[in-house]
Amino acid sequence: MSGGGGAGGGGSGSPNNTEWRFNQTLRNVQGMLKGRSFPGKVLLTRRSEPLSPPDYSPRFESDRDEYEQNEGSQEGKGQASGNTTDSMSAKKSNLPSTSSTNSLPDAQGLVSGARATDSARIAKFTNELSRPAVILDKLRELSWSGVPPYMRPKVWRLLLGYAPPNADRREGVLTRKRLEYVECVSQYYDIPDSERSDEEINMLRQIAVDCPRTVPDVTFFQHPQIQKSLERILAIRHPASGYVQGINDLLTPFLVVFLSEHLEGNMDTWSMEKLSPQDISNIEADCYWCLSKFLDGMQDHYTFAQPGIQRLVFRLKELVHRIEEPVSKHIEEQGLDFLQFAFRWFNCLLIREIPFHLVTRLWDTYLAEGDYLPDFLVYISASFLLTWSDKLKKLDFQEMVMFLQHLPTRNWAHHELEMVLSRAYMWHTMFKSSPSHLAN
Amino acid sequence: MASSRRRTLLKVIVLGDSGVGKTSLMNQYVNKKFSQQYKATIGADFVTKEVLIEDRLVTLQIWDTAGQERFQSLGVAFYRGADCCMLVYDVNAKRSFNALSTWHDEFLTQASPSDPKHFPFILLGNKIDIDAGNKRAIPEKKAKEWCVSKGNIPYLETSAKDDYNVDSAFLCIAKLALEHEHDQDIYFKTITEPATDTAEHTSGCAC
Repeated sequence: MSGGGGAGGGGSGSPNNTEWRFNQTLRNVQGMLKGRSFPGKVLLTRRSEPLSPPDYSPRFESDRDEYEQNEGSQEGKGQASGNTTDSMSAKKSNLPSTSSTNSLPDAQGLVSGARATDSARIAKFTNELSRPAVILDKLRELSWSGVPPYMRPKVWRLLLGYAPPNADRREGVLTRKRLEYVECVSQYYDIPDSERSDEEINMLRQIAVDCPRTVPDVTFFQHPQIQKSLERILAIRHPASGYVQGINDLLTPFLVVFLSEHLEGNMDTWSMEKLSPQDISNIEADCYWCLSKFLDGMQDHYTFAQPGIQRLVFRLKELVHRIEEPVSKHIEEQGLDFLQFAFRWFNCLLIREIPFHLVTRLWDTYLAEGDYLPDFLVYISASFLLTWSDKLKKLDFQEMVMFLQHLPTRNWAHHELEMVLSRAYMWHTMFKSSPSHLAN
Repeated sequence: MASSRRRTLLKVIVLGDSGVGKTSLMNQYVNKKFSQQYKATIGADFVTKEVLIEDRLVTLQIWDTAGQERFQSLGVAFYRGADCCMLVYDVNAKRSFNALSTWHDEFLTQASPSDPKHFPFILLGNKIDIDAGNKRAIPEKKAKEWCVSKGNIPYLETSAKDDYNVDSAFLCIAKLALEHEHDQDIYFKTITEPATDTAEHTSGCAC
């Protein structure tokens, strides 16, 4: 266990320096989020007061200045240590210049959460959505920091390329796709077992085992009709990989969001009786297409041996090593394999690790990332893991596995999630064009 | 007070088809709880339990693995260094019984223990509570025959729901693993630690 207590100002040794750099990043993120910087180390697990909604933009301007200054001074210190030079030069080349910061997707939007309901923000969304042809890049930029809940169904359909950007074509396309789905059901699902291959029968059996185990703590999902919908969607989905356990989890945010178009209030009070058969059919079709589109970008995550996930786990390990060496060293010394905890993270895209009410917010960012999601997931996961970096360093193998499998996120609110995302964003910006750390 | 004693770590892998009750068995054993509400295990879950076996403090590190075949490729990461393996099937589901040989062989391939012929396994036939045994698809005799064919693996019938034979099953496999370890004269990790444990006493192995 190296790099003990030196949490203070920038040391010259390399472990200290790494830690110092990490703290600096934290402080920067904190500063951006809260409009002030904190002295010393800030624990992200600390619950904090709710964000105050108003006037982010003026404050942000000054925060950004501060942030850039910090980056500058950090660079100076970084030169001292040979160990970190390549990360430093990477940062030099792609971070601080104001113009590049501005061109990054929704740099201001780092705040969010409360921002999603901010009236100026809603106006921006309304504006984008009312165009005759939605400009997807702009919608992505806005959505990255959270979509106002009542706009989610519409925005998600657009981001996933399920609904066309062109307003006049939109209804027609959706109607056609929904019919297509109904045809799929009668062609592939409503058939006798004698017409199915053994493989398909196996898959259906697996789906039947897993549907009742889908978000079992949210009672709404246990409704027989919802169970039936889950089953049909999963059974028809994706010939490339078939059904893999965990995909049932990935379906749930879509289901909740598309249902929210028809049912008001809290999910716990929803009643299926309020839905017409046509509503249900449409919702099911939307879920099917959106899940399919979503998973298209991650095909090899669920094929044999799941190479896509193995790759992300490997890259996570590399990234953590680069960002906070003492933690990665400790994990290694304890004999913990990243696969032993991060496999589930990637297989279920962190759904299992955070409270369900935050999942749709997380999905806003996922969908905004689009094709870049797998890459960005590595950063989100690193940020998520290092939320507990101090804690982790104190745990032995057993404690660490137990801790990582039951992370204390139960009481998380938006703020904590925003923190994870913002930090992921920053690290991504810092490291993305310095490929050495993610070489295969 | 804080006398130190040798502590042995045993890594236990729980394997079997999806939905046979692996997570339930583990949770009943460690937390004395049964729930209908589990999510499907992804990758593997991990728990530990300390037991006292013949005056020896043993820490079981139990890996409860995912049942879908698709995850079998993960085996290497999770099975490595295993001291014993608990195979589970559902006595009411023939298919889960038929899959046992695959699980058994796949485990040996991926864990590649030094002495595969004598590697400690146990077989559990779970869910004997269901419908008072009327839905049973595999007679006890058949399961025992399978166990003989695999080199006399001990067999226990269990109910995670009613907490029937659960403790015995884990104790049995732990003892086997210890014997095996002894035979093999493999080193085990020793840790000095205060003996303030909540260890449970040996209740005699049912096998």
